[in-house]
Amino acid sequence: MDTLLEVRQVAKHFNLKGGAVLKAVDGVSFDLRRGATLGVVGESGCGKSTLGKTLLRLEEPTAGSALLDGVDLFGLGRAQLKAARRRMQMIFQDPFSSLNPRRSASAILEQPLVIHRICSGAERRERVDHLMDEVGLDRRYRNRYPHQFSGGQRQRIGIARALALNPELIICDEAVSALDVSIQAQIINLLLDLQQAHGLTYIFIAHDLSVVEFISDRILVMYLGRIVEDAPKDELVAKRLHPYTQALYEASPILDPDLRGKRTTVPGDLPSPIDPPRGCHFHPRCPRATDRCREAYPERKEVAPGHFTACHLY
Amino acid sequence: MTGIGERVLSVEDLHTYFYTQRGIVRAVNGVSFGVDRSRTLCLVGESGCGKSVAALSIMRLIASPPGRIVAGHIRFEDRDLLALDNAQMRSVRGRRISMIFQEPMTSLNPVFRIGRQIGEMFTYHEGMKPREARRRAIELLALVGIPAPEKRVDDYPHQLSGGMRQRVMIAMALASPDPGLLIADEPTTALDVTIQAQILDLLRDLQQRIGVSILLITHNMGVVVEMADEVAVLYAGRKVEAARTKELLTSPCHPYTRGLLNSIPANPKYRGAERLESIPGSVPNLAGLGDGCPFENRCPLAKAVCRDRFPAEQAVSGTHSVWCHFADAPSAPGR
Repeated sequence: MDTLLEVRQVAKHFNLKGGAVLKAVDGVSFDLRRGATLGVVGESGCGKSTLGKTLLRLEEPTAGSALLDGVDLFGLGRAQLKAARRRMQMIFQDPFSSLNPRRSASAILEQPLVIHRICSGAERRERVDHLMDEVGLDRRYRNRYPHQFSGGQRQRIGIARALALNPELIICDEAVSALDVSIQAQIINLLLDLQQAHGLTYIFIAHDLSVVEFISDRILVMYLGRIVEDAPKDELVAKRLHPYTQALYEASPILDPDLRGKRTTVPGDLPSPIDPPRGCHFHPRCPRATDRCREAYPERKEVAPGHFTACHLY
Repeated sequence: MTGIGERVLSVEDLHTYFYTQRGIVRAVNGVSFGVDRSRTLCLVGESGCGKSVAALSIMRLIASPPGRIVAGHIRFEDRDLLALDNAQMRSVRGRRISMIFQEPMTSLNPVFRIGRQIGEMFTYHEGMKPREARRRAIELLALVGIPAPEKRVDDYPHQLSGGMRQRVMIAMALASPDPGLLIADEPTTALDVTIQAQILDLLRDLQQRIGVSILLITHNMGVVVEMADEVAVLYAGRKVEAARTKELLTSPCHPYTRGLLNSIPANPKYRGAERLESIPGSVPNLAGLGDGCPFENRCPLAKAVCRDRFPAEQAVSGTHSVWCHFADAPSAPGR
């Protein structure tokens, strides 16, 4: 198996006023195959966005390692990190706040090429035109500013910017969450087309389980900083083992009116990640919790080939 | 109070326009719908379809200028809301028709304790004493499933989670002794999915217990499926299809409704699929829209007539209507 990214025991802790520690990401490990899509799904405070930022070192990690083709990103100095970032890019949720409102589309798309001294002059303009074609934006709009585009078009600019440096890995952080559903489907298809054309590897971070299940090869479910279950997509769809994964599925929108009111809802609020419950973080909301769950955090176990879960039931 | 199924709200041929520097935006352009007692109607559609403006029109909360209700009727029980003066309208708002919004933090006043904000309903509309109003507030907090309501009543909004704040909003909306209609505008959009499921359960449960009628506004077909008895699909200010929920899901007729359902990855047809069937293009600029069908520029069935005039209602069944010149065309894309 051709592994692009090997992540081991990554942690990102924030020290808060008054000595409290927020363990946003707490011991996350996974392998990511070249050309594959890893979906990361969870609700507010699960650490999915912090995980993405930490892997790109937009946040400095507290512990762990992330090997990109065998080189630990967490050990790189400034110059090496800048070079490594050519290989990994990010697409953000809000296509408005992630684009500079004072720069035209072409200036936004040229910027990575300028920073990394890729090309200049006519060649650079040609590259920008090509990027716009690739993401389905009309070249004639190159001098327009972000506010002159619709939300879907702005997200296309964000995608084109991520593609500008020909990266291998793209982290999509809630990249389709802010879009209308008909536009969301267009952007999902675009991401899949681009993956096929360029052999891209994705980490697709989202709160919407059905979107993650559509786009991913492997899925990682997070709750309060930790992975509770991870498995190949088809395996997870067939067997959702962790009670939190089941709860997330039961709460996700479906199109079958016959199931109305028949699905189980887990009680309680999401606990604060500053002070997560002892033992298994999910135990206060879990319908199957026992005394053991209140005391010890369960070890991650392989319950079927490639299917891991951290739950005392298994 | 009369029986279930009686029409509580009926909106007829509503036109709400905004007069902007760039032209007239016909945000709601001749839309009709009705809500029956103790039942739920969902208005569903994407950005700019007019669903929120329709709701605000019912509450007469359209900012004027630039907005104005230029034509139509809004009948609530036996009164025409558009004919009421401001004082009469104030006695309807909050008391007979309540509204909850997407972001409960911005709808609650951050400097007052929640008990006082709920109790205001009783002190303002009923002339109740503060002590009594506080007792009623605690009862309502218990009704909407807030744990330890006698403690929570003294909390400020920032001390509550998003889901709890939305429960407080619902408590306020139901504070009236005779709630006729609850308008919920994207009430769960800002919430995590496990919390969304709790709030939808709560709304369904309260409807059964106190018989309130609900007008629910959402962009999320999953929420429609969980909540709606009837659905109206809106697009760019027009109603394009209306049906009972199951009919709409099993036999959608309008190309936009079909496209919308096809855009959802949760659609069972996509199990194992490689791509989604998306709708090309994006919503047109409402300021430049003519009299034709607004979906014409994205529609696989569009012909010249679609640009010229908006189609008349076509009945599919007694409870299912569609507004499309070619909805029954044999080339219509299937689900």
